[in-house]
Amino acid sequence: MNRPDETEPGVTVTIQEIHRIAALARVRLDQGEAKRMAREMSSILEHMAVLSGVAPEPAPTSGVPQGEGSTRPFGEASDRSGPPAGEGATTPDPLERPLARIAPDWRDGLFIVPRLPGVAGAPGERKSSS
Amino acid sequence: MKANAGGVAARAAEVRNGKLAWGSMAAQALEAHGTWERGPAPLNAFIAVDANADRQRGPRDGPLAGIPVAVKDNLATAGFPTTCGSRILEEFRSPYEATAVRRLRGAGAVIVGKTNMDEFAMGSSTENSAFGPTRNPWHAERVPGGSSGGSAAAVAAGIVPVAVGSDTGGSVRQPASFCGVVGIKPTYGRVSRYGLVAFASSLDQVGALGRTVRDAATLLEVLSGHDPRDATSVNRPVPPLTAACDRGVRGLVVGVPREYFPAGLDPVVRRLAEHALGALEGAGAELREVSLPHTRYAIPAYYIIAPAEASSNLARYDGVRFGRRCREADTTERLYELSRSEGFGTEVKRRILLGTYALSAGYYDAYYGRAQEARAAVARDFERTFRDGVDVLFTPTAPTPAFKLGERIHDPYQMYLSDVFTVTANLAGVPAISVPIGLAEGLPVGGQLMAAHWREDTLLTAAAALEAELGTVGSPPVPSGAGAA
Repeated sequence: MNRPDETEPGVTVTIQEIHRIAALARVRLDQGEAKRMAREMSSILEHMAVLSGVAPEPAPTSGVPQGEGSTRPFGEASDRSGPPAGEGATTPDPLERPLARIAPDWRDGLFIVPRLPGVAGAPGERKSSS
Repeated sequence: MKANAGGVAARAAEVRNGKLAWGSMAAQALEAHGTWERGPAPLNAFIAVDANADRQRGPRDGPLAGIPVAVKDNLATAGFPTTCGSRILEEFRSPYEATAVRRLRGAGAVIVGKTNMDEFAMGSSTENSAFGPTRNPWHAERVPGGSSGGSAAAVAAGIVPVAVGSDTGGSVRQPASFCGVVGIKPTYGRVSRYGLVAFASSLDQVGALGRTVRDAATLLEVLSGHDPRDATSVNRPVPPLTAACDRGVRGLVVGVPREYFPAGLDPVVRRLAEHALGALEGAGAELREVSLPHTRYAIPAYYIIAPAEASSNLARYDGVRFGRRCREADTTERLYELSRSEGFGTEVKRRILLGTYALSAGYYDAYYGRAQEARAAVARDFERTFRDGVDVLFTPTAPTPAFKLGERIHDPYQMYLSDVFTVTANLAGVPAISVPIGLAEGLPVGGQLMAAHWREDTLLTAAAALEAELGTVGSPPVPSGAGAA
């Protein structure tokens, strides 16, 4: 995952890269700090390499729960025989329907947007006399 | 009399019916704080204390009437500084108050002080504070955990009965485990983040710490609820949380994920965790071994996503809009650079650089993109397990008891591994709680319970049953020679 221009054995993030990132992050590092950061970040990123083994699937953008909890409230009567939940089973996306069905108006694959009031051609707009 | 005798609900009731003077518990809290700070090894649990807290006024009819509460120093609080444990915010006073703090005041709580923390909540030991480390009340040479180490230490030391923390990857639960108290991180969206200084916005959540499960539940009940000022706050009813503590666990299905009991787990932690599972089974719960196979990706994913979000959130600290401003800068660019370089500590700089690196051109897909996929996989593990009939999961909270001050501070990845059992709940957004399950050579050990989204009530039912079966771990000895509170 890293560039090969190493500066020390086992250090895969170079000091030049550290300075480049620090400039992007608006943090100033002296040479000693940069060297230490390069060593530490190389070590940390080495552990991150395991992420290359993750099978790609759609990712959430936050931890916000998407729907009603999938379990019954403990202590209340419930039916445990709900839908089977095999490996990789996902909840249907409620927005997964043809766009044309949720569009207010739709023509040739495009949304038709009402004109804003005051713009020529808007509903009820009086033609200006010149 | 200890500030928490009888539990906070009972003490608040005494204030409401006039049996207990309004400021008496706050006065006890201030005295206990002084006792610990005058001792041979000061706790340093607080960054700021209101020496006149016993004279604060508030509604006398609330569920926390007169109860002294400590608040982590990353929640905007009127009348106090809000430093986040950082030099860059050393002089900062927020012009507004966090919703969580407003709720506390509305419930009658007395805010006695702001607690020490790892800078911007980045750490697992409270050693990264610009205001010095907090000590563990059980052992002065041990860390209290982090990043809410000050809140956990203040509760464990008996200074306050309950405290507020924040949990981005375990920052309420891990210090609760190290200090022998209860710490709960609710479902993402249950408690408003308005006024909580952002670290990693998709993971941050305000949490509650207490001496007992019931106290933590009482505090969480006050903190919970919809807030239109936080777009991620969810508008749904809060179930009765304290009442959930009385239900009992007969018929409850407790999942035991094998990935959380690895071969290298500290043998004492393993023994105590297995004892706790036996206690749950003895109380009528059904134990079921389960697998959360993507757990191994959790730490790498967390330590990409959280720094990436932090690198964006902390861009606002530039010497212009907030806090510390370098006086020697001759250009705007240098003002930004020097203010940030002087104001941020080493761990914060490390995470900002790590996040910037992971988001930069050429690395985004390999790191950030993969980390988001891993997060989705971790969340699916939980979803599947709870859908298959498991009510709660039980794991150790941390792989070891509290480690020594200075032991891991120079090895960032070793420090990150302290969170190995806690980050998954943040990645999935599910609620989780740490409950004391015993002592290992005089140091507390915590057990973690996790439940499905919005099932804090089930979580508290299981936690209260565990506490009832095992008992609390008691209190650390008050330092001698300084006079007990």
